[in-house]
Amino acid sequence: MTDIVDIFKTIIEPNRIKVGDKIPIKYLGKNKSLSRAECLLRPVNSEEVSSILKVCNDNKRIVVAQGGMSGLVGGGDTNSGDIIVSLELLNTIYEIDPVDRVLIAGAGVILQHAQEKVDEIDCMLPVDLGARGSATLGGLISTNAGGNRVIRYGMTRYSVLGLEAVTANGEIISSMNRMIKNNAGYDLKQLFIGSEGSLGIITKCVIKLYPKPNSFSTAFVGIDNFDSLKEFLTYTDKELSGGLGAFEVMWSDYYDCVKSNYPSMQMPLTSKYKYYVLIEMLGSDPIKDQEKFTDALGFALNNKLIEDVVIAKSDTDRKKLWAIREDVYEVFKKLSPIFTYDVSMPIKDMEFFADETKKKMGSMFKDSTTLIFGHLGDGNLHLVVSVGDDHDESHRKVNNIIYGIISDLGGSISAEHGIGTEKKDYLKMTRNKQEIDLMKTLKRSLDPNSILNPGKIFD
Amino acid sequence: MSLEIVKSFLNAVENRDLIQAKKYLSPSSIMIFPGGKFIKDLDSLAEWSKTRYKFVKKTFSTFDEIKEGNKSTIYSIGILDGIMNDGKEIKNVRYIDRFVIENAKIVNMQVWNDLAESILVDKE
Repeated sequence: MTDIVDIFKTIIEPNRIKVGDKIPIKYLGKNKSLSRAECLLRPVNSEEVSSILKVCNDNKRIVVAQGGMSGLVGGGDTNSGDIIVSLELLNTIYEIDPVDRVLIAGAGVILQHAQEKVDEIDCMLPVDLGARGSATLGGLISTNAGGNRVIRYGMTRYSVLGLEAVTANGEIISSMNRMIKNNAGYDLKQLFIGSEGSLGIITKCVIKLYPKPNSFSTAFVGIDNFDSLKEFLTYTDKELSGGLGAFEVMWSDYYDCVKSNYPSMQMPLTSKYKYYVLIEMLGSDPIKDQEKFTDALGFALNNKLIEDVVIAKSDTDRKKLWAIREDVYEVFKKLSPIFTYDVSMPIKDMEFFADETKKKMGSMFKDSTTLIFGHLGDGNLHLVVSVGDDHDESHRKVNNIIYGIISDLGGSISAEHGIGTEKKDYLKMTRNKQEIDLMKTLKRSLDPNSILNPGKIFD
Repeated sequence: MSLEIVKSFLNAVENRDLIQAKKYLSPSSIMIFPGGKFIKDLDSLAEWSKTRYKFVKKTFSTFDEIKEGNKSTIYSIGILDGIMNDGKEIKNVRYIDRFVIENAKIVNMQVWNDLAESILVDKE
């Protein structure tokens, strides 16, 4: 019997194949300590991906597609015997069209690289997130990633005009539409966006670009009650005439934790407030936008919607303010072991959610820390929870507390990270039976042998 | 007229006569100080100042006025002298204050100065 790796050697160059313990650990996902996949394949084009999938489908071998491995829910995790298909070498930017404002690129292009290339023609790629230096376009699309600009540009899904994907039987589905308007039949790309590599492997994409903002007006705000916070969001959203580019909220525990654990971080506000907001306006006229921005903040301050505010005076200042929200890995490391959450709910319910979560955490665990922050304008909160250990039993208890409250509020257990392996046991708390049944019907239809990332999203 | 309002306001602030100074401010005025710090009213300004310096005195050098309809923008340029809370002397530090006057009231005041730069230079 021919070894499947030998077959792969007839499809791609042997130096792009790693077998068993030769597979670098970064490709193994969170299960790296448990098992190793059978092999890692690094194709360079869609035809190679197609040939690989035909072989895997014929041999009923499980395929895990991987991008930059920056996902947070184990969507790229592997198990013993899996075939890893890393898309990282599909990293060609084919075209950047400043008139149609589209980027056409391979799935393995790293977000930051794409952002920099697009920036050269004074355009902007709407998707942005902290992992921009490692996340790939294919990964962002297959997880329908969110990030910092969703309030202005929507989730990744909203920016994808077209894509190419390879289905389980190796068929290349080219749906590389580059027009904003195209209502000719089913919008097939949506099948592959956010389905975490379980319905097909994305190999190319067409992303809609936007004019690059010429001005970034950024401020850090202190607020003392949730009603004012909601009012401030509504007010700025209206007053900045669609220019609101970010509205990131940090509960005081988060701000205090960064302040006490990160002495080198420059904290802009010295007084203590219940909520802190990083607000940013994107615009096209640096002078007029800054005036509009400061007028809006001044009005909010004078009318007691906000208690305190500092504006960024330079791009360096702006980066320092964003660092409080983004560059906090060291803080989380000090709290580790931690459990992280990404949930969404109606904004009006967030105060109750936060209070109830902290109350229940306090009752369940003797010493626990719950930090809450997130993209409030998108209805999306992140939680970092520390209970002193990372035992499965503790994780399950925390999951039940948080997802239980979310379920009662009609929210989602995954706002922007996906389901992967981490949340699949809780999918039923946020999707009804009919929805999950339809997902499974689609899966069976497109991947009857269940070779594409099985065991992710649902069993 | 607008220039007189600004001069009177600056004099009142320097004399710590906040009651008089408030008369020149619109109820919806915006004040932004170095560091991008918004100050909501003169009482807050007094409190904030206490955290930084023991006293500071302005020497006015120039006032420039730009008129546009019923709005005037006035720039006050000069130097600061005083003593920081840690005892460090403030001497000959440049400043610019920008005031927007509408309907005989200050609606917007922004302050820039080289205080932070002078501290940095001292540290070098």
